[in-house]
Amino acid sequence: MLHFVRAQAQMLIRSPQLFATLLVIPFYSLVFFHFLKSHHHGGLATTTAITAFLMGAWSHAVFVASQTVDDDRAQGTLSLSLLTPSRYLLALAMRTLLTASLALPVLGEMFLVGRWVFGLPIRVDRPGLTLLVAALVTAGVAATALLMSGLMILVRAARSLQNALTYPFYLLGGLILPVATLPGPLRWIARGFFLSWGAQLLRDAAAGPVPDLGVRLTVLCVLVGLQAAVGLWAVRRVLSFVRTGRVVLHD
Amino acid sequence: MTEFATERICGRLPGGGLAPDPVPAQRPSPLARVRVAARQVAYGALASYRDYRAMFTLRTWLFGWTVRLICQVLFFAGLGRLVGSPSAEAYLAFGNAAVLGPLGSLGVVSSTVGERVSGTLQFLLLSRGSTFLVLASRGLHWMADGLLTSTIALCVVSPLLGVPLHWAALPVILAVLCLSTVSCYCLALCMTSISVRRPGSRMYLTAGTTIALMLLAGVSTPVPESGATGLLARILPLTHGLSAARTLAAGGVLDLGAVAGEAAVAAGWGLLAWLLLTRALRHTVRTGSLSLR
Repeated sequence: MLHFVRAQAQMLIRSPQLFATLLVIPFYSLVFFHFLKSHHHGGLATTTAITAFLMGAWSHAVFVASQTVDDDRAQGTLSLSLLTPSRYLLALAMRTLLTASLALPVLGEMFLVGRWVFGLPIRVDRPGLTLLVAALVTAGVAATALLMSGLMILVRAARSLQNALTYPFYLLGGLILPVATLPGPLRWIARGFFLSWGAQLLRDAAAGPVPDLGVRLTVLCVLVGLQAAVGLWAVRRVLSFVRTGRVVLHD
Repeated sequence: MTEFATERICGRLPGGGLAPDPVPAQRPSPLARVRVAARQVAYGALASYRDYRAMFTLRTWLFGWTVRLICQVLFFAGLGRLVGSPSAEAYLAFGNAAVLGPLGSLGVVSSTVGERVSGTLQFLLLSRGSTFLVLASRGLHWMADGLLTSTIALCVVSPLLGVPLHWAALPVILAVLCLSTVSCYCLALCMTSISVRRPGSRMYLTAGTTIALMLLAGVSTPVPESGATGLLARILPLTHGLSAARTLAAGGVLDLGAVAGEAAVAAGWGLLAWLLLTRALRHTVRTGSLSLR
């Protein structure tokens, strides 16, 4: 499995433009921090830094990590990979996970921008737990990217849909306001969404003692696992469609 | 032995200059020039529309794109609720709905790069028509889309979050926002002079402008009054227009000074766009630096 990761790392190093999302999205933290500073609510800096990190991780997964399979198709290596006995699905999953995990340092970047550029009080009470939850959320967004990969092969308009898959999910994930503020039916959907559990757990881990930590961590792990299972199942099914000719690798 | 007669061929001479046309052309009248320019813009707008239709169906536009933009407004308005200030929430909601038009118009930066990547820019540069006009009209769909989604967002979010909006003034508000969108489109055309030569820069250019508008133009926080940021805010598109739109929404009268300011900013960026883009295109032709990819 390591050689899949090594190959993807080499491809990423040769394509620095793939890191653009990671550089651009955190710019939004400037808007958040500037707003908090002008309204004298510096105490919320850690919360908004986490929001900016989650925005960056999600959009990096949706725009960049999910693109891996489309790049393979555009370069003509997808059809060749499907002909080989090696498991392309496993390779794709590992490569997507590696690409998505590059968003992890953004969390530190956000904390540094808040503290050094704006002089806001950034406080992380439980750094180890914060890092663990951030890693779990990253695994979740990688699973989302995998699901998107299936869509990229199946639907021609998937690229224009990528844009639509950002802010609605930021709201559903409770990135800016807790999911309790969402209207009834949406609140129920959000309860089954790993991002909402991850966002709330990250905020609590940064703030101090976390109530029901074991249960909440378990729920987050289960939801991330389910997301990964759905993503793998979807890509596997789409690839089987490709093999049988039911889906044509256009272009 | 056959002797070849030396023929005068129209085109580039060995010395580097351009040979005159074999048939001296009559100088077209100003009216004819305007007609040609209008035709170019009309075809550019038609091509823009076709591009747009290829990108979205009515369903994906309505339930994908428009819903996403409304969620974007709600997301940023949520910052106001986070700090427990209903007035800040309303301020953010109005500002973020109004900024959708100007932000949408930034799409022209990518459209121009699209001309280069698809290999059509070379042919445009070879043609007799104005390349500037073609490129300027190739992103008109972004401007129209931005205005439409901004209007929808204003109409949806205002009652939802209780944003004070004087409904009778809505047509005038939209006219002012239209001016701001044109103004931002002119700024975006300035940036195309960079993106057409360095396609990789387009994402950074649009993201940088987005953040500058959201920080300084009065979208999220009041416009800075003094210093370098205050000066920059005054020459940015949207600042004056948004101020006039906010006054109208609150039931005030149209601030003609602010509208004149926005029109001046639009004219300034428009003129600069023409200078920079024309210069950039000439440079690429002169140096032969426009690669096919």
